[in-house]
Amino acid sequence: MKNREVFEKVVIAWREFVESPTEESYASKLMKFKEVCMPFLKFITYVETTVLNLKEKFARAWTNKVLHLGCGTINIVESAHGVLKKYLRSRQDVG
Amino acid sequence: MQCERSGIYKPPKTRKKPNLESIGSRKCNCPFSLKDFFDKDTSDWWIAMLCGMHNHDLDEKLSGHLIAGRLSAEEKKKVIDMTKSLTVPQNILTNLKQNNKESVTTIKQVYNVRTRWRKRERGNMTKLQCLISKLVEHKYVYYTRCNNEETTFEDIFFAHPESIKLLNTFSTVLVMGSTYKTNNYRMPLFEIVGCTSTKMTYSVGFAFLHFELEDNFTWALTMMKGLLSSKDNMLKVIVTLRDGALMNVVGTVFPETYIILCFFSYWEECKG
Repeated sequence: MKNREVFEKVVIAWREFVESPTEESYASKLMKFKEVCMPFLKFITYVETTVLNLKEKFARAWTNKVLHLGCGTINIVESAHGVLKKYLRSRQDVG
Repeated sequence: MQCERSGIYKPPKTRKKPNLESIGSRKCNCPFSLKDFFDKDTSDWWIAMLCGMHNHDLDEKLSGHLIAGRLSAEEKKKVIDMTKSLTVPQNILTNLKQNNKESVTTIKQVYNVRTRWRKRERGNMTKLQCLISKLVEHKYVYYTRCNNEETTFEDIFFAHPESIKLLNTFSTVLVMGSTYKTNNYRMPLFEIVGCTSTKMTYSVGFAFLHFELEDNFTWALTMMKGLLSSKDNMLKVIVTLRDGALMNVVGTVFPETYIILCFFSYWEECKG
């Protein structure tokens, strides 16, 4: 159960820093995220190297500056895929 | 009249040499045979037993036997009708068994009927010719591409004329992603979805890509770019997964476009 609690804490911290509306709050929330993840040093370095260098591309603080009509995630593609697959009878029927 | 296991296995006449090691056959050269003849004078049937021995054990149940499990013409039609209405084979079989309590049909018979029907629908066209003829029939805009030696078909991109109209009207935000398990050739289906100003979504185009490499994405995106009627319609925002190849390519094909990456995908990645 303990693992689960830690995991949920990390998720909440992640969501907070990604969805923070301004750059200042982004910075403070990011600090908080790092604090939560303190026991997992490898995870922090992984996030820093792969994710944070692209922060303008996904954190709400930056993406909200452009007109994206509410499309922050690709879930509309996922739902389109779902609809498409309902029409497909089987794998053999396509292509 | 012979036993269903009489004779020996005859491989199908194909160019490819069949791999006989991995398959088994029902045929085991069983000598059992009967002969029947019709007596014209008394108009009676006579049966003579030429050999009354089977060289294999007899099954207690009928299920699995070819003749016992075959489907009647009516049942075949039913299977095809149900296939057309997207019923999965196991449910078709359940339905057949409910209507005919004594039926010993197996799932294989249902599969066979479906495969034969599909083959008949295609006629003498190959699957690819069939796909392209359907695209032409419904007035799709499509582009195809072969590999460098022009031996193998690699990618196909297609879009409906209506969705091209929509694309030129609502070209602000496009979302892209691939889906898998849609075909037998393990080709991912790359789908581009647009978002209208009323928060509705529409599909711009689909592409079957041979690989998910930068080259394939560049090609598909360039084809998509060709559908835009004027430069004023240039896309403003593209949302994608954090997929290395696609992410890099969007930047080169649409240099003025802002790319948003799906942060959920990060999360998926981090969990793993």
